[in-house]
Amino acid sequence: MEESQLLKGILEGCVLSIISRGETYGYEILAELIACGFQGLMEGTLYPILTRLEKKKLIQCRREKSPFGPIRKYFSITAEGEIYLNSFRDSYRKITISADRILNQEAENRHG
Amino acid sequence: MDNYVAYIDQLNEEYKDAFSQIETYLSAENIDSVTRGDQLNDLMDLFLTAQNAGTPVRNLTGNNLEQFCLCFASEYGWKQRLQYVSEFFKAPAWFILVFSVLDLIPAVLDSGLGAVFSVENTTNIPGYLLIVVLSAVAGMMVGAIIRHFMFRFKRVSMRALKVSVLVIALGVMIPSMLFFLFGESPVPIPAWATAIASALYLAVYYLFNGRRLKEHKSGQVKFWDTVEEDVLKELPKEMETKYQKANQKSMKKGNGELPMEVFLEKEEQDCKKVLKHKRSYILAAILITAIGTLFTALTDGFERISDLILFVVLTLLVEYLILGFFWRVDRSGAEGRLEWIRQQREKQDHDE
Repeated sequence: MEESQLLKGILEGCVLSIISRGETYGYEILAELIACGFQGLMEGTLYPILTRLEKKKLIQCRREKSPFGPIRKYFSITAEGEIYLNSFRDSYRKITISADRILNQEAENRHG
Repeated sequence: MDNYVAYIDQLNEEYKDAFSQIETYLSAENIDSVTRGDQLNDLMDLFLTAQNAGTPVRNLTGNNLEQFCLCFASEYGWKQRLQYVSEFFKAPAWFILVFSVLDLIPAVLDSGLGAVFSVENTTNIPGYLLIVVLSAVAGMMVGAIIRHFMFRFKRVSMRALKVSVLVIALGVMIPSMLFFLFGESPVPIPAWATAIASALYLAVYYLFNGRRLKEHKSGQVKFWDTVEEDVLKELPKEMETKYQKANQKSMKKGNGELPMEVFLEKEEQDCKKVLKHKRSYILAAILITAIGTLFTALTDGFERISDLILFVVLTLLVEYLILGFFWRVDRSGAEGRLEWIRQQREKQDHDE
């Protein structure tokens, strides 16, 4: 199965989690995702994710001139974003535990 | 200029190449200029930061640039399309408003406010609107074709996109303006109605977009920015070629190699002369208006003083647009050359 299908559901939560640690910007978020192993799976998805999060009012942004010249957007999490993130973490934990049980059970049965 | 265009030259070859393709793709998407400018400004910041960190561009875009562009543009929904369409009709709305008011003014000046309701448009507004709609459809089709083919055939450059847009714009704009100004309207339309309708459209447009336009003002790419970008992009290569040609000429004449400083000095003098041309453009505008007014007065004549005033105002406006464009190109070229000269001198001082 294509990894991107799995990623779609969890990338938003991952990006929101990175932003929740403190005000940050595009490259920092991307560098963190790549460092955690998402390299090669991003392909333009970061900015649509940030746009969606902003539309849902889970993050807010302010604009400031970057050290290299262009205007840079700095993102920070909102109160609604914090609530959403906590709910996401709970859901992710439950799904991971259940999925682990099923997938590991199958693996055990196969190796019998 | 504080948008992404000002920073393109800071990108190295691989980043510039990728950015140029993404810029072409997004420009061929039918989204409004504020959203597109915002996205490209964000991307420029990302690229500059990553380049400075030594990150290869493939780490950001992946190996499939088309996939990157598709993902990047995936968030554009009906709202951005609607904003694009409303932005597209902004200029025609201004035209219709201005020409409706121009039809009303002489009647009001001659016969008072009461004449307002009896004045009909002298311009072919239905025909003009039809052509505007057709050009919008043509623009969308060209955009779709470019987006579809640009990664399949060896890159469709930004220049090809601009040329095709310019050809469509001129090919549609000139006949549509002639049709509008000289064609007969199929139905008589009261000028007050078109003035109010276009004013209402513009009021609603600025009401819904005013704040957005103000917030993104510094990042917005204007038509003049892209003209300046085109002028400055090829400048270093052009100057190098010019120096080589001047050098060859000097050697042919038996004067030996042309010292760089002599070439730079001459270029600097030329550039300073060009920058003084602004007065010539203003004089040209006044002269053309005077000649045009005199010619019209002697041939057709002006029925009323208001016709004369309108003629002068319109002529000056058209000249401002046309001569202003050429002045802007001239000035950008001269300032770009002065900057290149300054950099060459710095390089020479550094080498010494």
